[in-house]
Amino acid sequence: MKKTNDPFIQDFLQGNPSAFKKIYTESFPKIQRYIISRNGSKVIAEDIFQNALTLLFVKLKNEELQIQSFENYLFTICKNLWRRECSKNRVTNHPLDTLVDESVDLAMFSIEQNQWDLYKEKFRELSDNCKNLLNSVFNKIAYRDIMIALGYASEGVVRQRVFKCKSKLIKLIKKDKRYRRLKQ
Amino acid sequence: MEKDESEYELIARYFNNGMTSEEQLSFEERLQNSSSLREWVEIYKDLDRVHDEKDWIYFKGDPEVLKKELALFQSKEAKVFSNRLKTWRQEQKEDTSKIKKYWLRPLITAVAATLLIAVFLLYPKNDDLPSLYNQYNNWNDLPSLTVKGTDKNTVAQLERSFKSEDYRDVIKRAQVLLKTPNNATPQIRLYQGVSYIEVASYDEAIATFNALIQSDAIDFHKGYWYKALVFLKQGQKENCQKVLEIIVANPTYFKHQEAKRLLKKLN
Repeated sequence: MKKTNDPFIQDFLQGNPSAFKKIYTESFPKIQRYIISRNGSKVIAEDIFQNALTLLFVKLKNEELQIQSFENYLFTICKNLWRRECSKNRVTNHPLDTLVDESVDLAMFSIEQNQWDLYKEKFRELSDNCKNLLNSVFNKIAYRDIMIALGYASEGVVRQRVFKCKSKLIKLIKKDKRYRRLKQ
Repeated sequence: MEKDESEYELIARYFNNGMTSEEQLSFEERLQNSSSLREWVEIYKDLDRVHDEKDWIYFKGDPEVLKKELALFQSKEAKVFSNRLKTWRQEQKEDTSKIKKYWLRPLITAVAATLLIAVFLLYPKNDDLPSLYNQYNNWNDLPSLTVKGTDKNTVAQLERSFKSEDYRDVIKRAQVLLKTPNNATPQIRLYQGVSYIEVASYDEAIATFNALIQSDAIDFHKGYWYKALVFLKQGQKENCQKVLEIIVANPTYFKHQEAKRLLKKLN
């Protein structure tokens, strides 16, 4: 469902203060709580929220996006921006002044978010069995425990099934035309 | 590219460091030469990253893809939108600040004080680390930055940025100011360190306070108190205790009494 005809989205795209007020009143406190509870700060929450709104503007303006709920997608973007921030700090530990230009960083994140959306969407297309199995693996449950919980004959069979499900998922991802667009 | 069980076992062993050195060399050579195997392995890794809350999938694609995406973010309409949002947000903050200044702040302070007394009376031992941090992180204790012999305009701007909570600007200004010898160096370090806490750059905050502690400044010991707060904010109880013990052992150090009280609560 393209949301560009929605009056609220129209107000948002026009930078109407009433849209900003609604977003900041209804969504920002939730994001702020989420980030502060994970060792972040109000300042970081402000930056992330602002970047997420700019990203939403660009995506909606260019009709790159089909979303069911503006608020839910905004929350997803904010969570991923925070996740990326934490992961970046852990890996590189760069001081703030060596970070790349803000718009370059946001453009990179935008591509990464598209990829994330694609991977999540394709995961939902898998059979329930595969989803259950892979969810267990992604939650780092030991193969032995998965074998017992899902009733497989041996750990080897679990490994084989995991491999088949992952292969199926990789095929679905690679077959989607958006995957090529993200790479080339 | 179809993969059979043995291929999966091989890839799984590669990720789990379960290969012999010969097997690893041979696998890496195949990875170098086969773009389809490389692509498969990359997606395989990404699948785990997408579902791992502590990880992220970073862009490694064609620079042309980035260039196209960047053009959208650097477009005139995106910039106009971003500026409009920033201006609106700034105006909201200023309005809130005015309201707070004239009547809301005294009211909130009175209500908070009442609640705090009630909480202390009802739950005297409810001292988890985040709530202790919130009790002790009072930035009003920071010294004024109007110091004799400093470039008043630049330093005053840093203090103004701090008061308007633009912590990233404080960090940038402090980095510039600290490059040259400065009479206000210890004070600038305090503002810089606290700003690092506010933007959750805790390693940088610790490094900044360590630099102050190791300096020959008269109030070098202030660094200990703020360093203890960084550990408290991160929930690192033992590290916090170690730093507080230093302050407690030296009665002339900054926040000696508070450090004693806080240490008692942590023990």
